[in-house]
Amino acid sequence: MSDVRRMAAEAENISDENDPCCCAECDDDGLSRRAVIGYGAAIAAVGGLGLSGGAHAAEGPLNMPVQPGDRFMITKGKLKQTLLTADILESGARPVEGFPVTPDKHEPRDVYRNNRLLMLKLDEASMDAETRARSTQGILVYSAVCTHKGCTIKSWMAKQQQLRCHCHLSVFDPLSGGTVKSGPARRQLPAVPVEIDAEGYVVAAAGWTATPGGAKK
Amino acid sequence: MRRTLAAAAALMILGAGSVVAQNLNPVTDARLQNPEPQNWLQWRGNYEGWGYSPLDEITTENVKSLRPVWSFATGVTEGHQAPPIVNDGVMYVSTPQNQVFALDAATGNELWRYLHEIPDDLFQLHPTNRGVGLYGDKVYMATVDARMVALNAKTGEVVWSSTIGDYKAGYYSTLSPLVAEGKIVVGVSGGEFGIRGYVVAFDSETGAEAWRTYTVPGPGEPGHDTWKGDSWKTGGGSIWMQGNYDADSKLAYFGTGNGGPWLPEARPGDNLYTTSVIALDINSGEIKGHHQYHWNDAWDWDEVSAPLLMDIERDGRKVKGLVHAGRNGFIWSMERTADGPINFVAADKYVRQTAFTAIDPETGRPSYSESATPGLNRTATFCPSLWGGKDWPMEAYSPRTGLVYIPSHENLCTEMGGSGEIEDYEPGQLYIGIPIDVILSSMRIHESQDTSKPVTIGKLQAWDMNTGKMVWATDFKDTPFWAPLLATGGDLIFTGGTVDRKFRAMDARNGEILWEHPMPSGVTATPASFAVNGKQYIAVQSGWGVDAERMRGLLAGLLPEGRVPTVPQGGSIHVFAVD
Repeated sequence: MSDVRRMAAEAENISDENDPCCCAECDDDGLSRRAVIGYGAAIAAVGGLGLSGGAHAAEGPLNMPVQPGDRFMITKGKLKQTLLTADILESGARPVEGFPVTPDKHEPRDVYRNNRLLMLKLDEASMDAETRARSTQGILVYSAVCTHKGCTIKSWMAKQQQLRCHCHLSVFDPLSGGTVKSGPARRQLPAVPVEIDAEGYVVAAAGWTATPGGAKK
Repeated sequence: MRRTLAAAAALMILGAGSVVAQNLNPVTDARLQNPEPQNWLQWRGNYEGWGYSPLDEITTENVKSLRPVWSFATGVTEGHQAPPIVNDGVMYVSTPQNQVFALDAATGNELWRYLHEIPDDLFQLHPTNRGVGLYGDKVYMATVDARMVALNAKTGEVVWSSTIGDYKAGYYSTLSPLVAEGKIVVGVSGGEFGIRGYVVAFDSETGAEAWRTYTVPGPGEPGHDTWKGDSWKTGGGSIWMQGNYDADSKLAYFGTGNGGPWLPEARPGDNLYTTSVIALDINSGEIKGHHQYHWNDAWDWDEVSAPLLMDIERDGRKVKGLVHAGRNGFIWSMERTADGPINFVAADKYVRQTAFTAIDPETGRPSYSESATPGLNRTATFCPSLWGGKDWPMEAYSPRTGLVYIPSHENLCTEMGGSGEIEDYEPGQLYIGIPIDVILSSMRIHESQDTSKPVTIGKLQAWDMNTGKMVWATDFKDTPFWAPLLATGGDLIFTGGTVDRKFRAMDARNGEILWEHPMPSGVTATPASFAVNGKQYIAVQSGWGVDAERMRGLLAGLLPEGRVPTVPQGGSIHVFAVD
């Protein structure tokens, strides 16, 4: 069976991927319930920051790609506007969406739309060496922008632990550096190497490993 | 100066072919109303949307000798859907990524090319373009980043560039422009992003916006009372396809997309003018008439294509008609009037349809089966699938046979429903209401089919609209059938659409396949026919992608391994003739 056919066949089993067995303590966002309870303070700390790109100047720090030292803000689901910490994600669960934020004011760098990213936690032992070196405590941060035609990646194939773009069905492997497993994409997903800062937040150890965004051909 | 003007690259190739470009024959309203047989001046050949060429050198007898004359690589992948547009020996072809090539139509020699700058942060759900428009001495293209570009037809240089919409908020354009009365008329896609759809007209010379008409009426406008609360602000009603046009009444007929988000509870009410045909005054943009094919859509059945303008004589009643093979599985026959109102005539089921329980014989308003209607908290199975009985690939009408030809999908159904909540609206991001993983696993083959044997999925149907009966059908098994049609005066139908990459000619009188040719990629583009120095040519792009590939991928997962092959991608333009 080809990769593409296998992917399509696996799509038929997607309902199983949401089985509670895969993430016993996850809610629908794939987040730890403990984390949801524990990080109310973080929500309050950054609450009130708008995420609309239209409110920001076209130039400036919010239009810059992710920078070393940036933290990461969750922008979807129950932990919306929460800053990422290592224990906020459940291993193997659906990635959460977000943007990097400036180190000082924690403003999302969302004017640069290709900063949209996915945060997930996976088994470090299953990662290849290069991927593991970019992770911290199993946390990985990838571009959410498909390298094929720039669509926001929304689909998580939990059994295979792979990311899938719904637009044209490219599949990426986060355990091996975001490489393309099948579909029309020809470039791996860029990543952000991460580490933990002194206050326990996940921060960017460097910028994007490659320019995020879709292809022009 | 706008980005597109500053950065677009129009490359002129100097050579023998440039003589052809210098002899530009300006395109006028009169020529578009009565196109010369040797030309293919707009995407369906005429304003009526027939997809018919009267050229008859290539016949049912000699088509077996059809051979390639020239081909040309486009250099890009994804769904090539545009027809080659031909004006007195010069061919203009648009491709994904909004390239335009001007070529000598007889030789394929390049005259110029225009390469549109695509923004780095564009979210391309549908990387395609359905064709250019010609008017005066210019070539017009709407783009995936919602720009309207006018090019010098002789050089490819940008004459003007205007904004159609904000691509960062999910507005984009894949349609070919309707050109008439000095207006360049296009619309916006983006129903999956929570847009509010509209048709917009630009002055052909200056690019100034002449009018803009929303398909979802705002407060105080007729039809607004079919929406509740603020749902109209993100109500969808995309314009995916070029409208057809009645030059006598000066009314343009556009099909409209479904309401957004997909789930009906998100927008209670009939949701005018979604899933409708609307009649627009070409000079003012005013909506003069409409017919809503189905209300408060729950199935993603955009009624994207415009109805064919053709005469119908049904049950003793002869009318100036509108005919539309709906994504909702019915062929709709309607009467168009000079003042605009559209009258229902008949609706005939052409594929298995499980969602409608009845259709009012006077108004055409359908009633629904609740068990086949997805909802916020209700998963339902329905047929045809969310891609419908016929998606965007266009019907054709031959005045010689009197038949309407429909590229349909049969035996595909969908099982889907909401998760109990709808995501927050975020400009430029998906706003569907149904989890994407549910959609990606939603396709079903109807239970009546034995999948251990080849299953009919594609079905080319020929209908007599005077009787409301199918005359013949040709089946295509184990393959999607994304097959825009060309009918010709030689009683031929040309089309592709299948995973075997074949481009084929069929007998328009009985559906017999008379000729087929393997192409580099699958063919989902609109074929065209033209003549140079009295010689007839057939032209089409090859280049598989977009929804045809989505359907192929899902179908491959439903049928036994090896039954649905992968289709290589990569675009090319092909021209055929008989010796």
